[in-house]
Amino acid sequence: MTLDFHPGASLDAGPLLPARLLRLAPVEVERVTVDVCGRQTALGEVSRLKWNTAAPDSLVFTGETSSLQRVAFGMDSGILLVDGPVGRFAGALMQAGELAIHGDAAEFLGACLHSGLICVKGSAGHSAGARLPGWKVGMQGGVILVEGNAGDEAAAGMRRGLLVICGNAGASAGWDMGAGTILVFGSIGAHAGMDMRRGSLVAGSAASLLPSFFASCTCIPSWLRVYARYLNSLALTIPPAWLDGHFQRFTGDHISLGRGEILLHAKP
Amino acid sequence: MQINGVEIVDTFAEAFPMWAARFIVTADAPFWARTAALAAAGMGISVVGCGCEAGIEGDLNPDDTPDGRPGCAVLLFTVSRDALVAELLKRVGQGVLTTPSSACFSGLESTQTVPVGGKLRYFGDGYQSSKRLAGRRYWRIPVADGEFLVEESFGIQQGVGGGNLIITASGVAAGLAAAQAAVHAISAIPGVITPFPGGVCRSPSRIGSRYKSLRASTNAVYCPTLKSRTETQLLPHANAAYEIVIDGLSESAVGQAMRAGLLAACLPGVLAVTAGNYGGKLGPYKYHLHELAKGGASCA
Repeated sequence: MTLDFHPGASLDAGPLLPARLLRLAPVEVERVTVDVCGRQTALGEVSRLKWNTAAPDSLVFTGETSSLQRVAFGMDSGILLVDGPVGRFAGALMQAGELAIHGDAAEFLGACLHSGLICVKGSAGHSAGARLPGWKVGMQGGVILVEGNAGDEAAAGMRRGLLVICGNAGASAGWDMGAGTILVFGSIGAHAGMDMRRGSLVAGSAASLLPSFFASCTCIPSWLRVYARYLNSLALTIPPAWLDGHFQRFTGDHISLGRGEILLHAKP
Repeated sequence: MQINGVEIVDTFAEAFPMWAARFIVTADAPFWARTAALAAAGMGISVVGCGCEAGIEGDLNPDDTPDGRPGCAVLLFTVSRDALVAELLKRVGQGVLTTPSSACFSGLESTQTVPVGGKLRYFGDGYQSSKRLAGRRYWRIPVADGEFLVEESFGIQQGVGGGNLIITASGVAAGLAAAQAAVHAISAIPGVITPFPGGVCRSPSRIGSRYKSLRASTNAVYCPTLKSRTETQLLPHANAAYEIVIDGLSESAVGQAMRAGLLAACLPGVLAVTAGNYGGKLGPYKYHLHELAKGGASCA
């Protein structure tokens, strides 16, 4: 099913989940009410419905998708594809299923993600895979793949799961991380891993590291190869230089528990 | 029935259920992967005296291993589930963990799993950490060349042990050439191992002994030096016999391996190929040599 949006204003797409919409008749779908800038509106007024017989199990959003907030919020099954950029909170609190975004994602992409897969063809805003405002814990599982860059505080409060950023990450990536894995193929910004207790933050480079991270050795992380194989299965390739190259390992944050690690690719 | 002038005795091999595990050992270089696999499978010859039967199923290309490095697949068989856990811990812990650059992963997708990395992790003395990916947990144990990566749980399943062929020949050279040809043919069959040294056993055993302390003793009926003293299963001109024991992950894998070995063993100088059984009392799997020779690979 494809919904071609023309809301003209910010639309709360939270209720528009595959498990709900795909079992409704077309006329019922058009009657579903959504919040457009605080006004309850029938879905049929802000979108055009098309049935896609080629992919009957998928829900596709097209058109003016940048106005959509909370896409796949709390989604617990199914496949949702957005052909364009999305607003804030896309995939937040997702429990299962797949969310594919063929464009950029605004702030709080996959915030507090529990499980499932989120793929973003573009870049992500601040707090990707991080905690929702007021929440203590960020990502607790699942996988987020961002093919572009990510903003500040990526995976803040992360407890488990995998966040991959193919470009660069902003400041404070992995802030207050309790466990989990962040892979940044490009560079990480300032204050990376601040208050990190466990977990891994792997990056191509870093402008600087906090003084509470201590250099331990140069190593070839064997676990990274397992991740590379997994990412290959998702059609994502780890930089080839990473697989055969060495990484400088820093442990920290020694102001906190200090069992985390930052691995920086050692240029030959 | 004869193949290439070799008598195929109208009998059957009797096999029995065993617990089986398959694990994958990887390392930076094929040499170290094979070294680790050999160490892990080492002296896993017979459950009679080794606690398990183990062997290298085959070498693996980097494309076929979980971490994209060269590897080997090892099969391990025991008579009980508890014994399988104990042997896995011992062999992965001593044979693989200690080998430079090695890592170890489960090689079986099964609903039944046993903890391996989940127990070996304590070697990390509190410095171990884990990674969880796609529903699997991997333990990272600090060692002197980095980290030993081992999967938390290994899949196990019921397998089949005790498939066998006994090659009788006019002499040692002819018998050994046939046995090696059979082992080579069997090595191409996935899911099986021939656990004896080089895949060949020159000392078939029987259960029990005239000495009370022994669980097994030489099977005199296959010893050419005793032909004039005891009952014998050897033909009059036979001067050597070699047994090939085959353990496999499935009934059909053992059958295919037995067929491949049977056909390959029919070389000049071989007088007969037979098989060992206990009159059908030992196990539920019976592999009739004539049926295997005709093309069947399943057991009765």
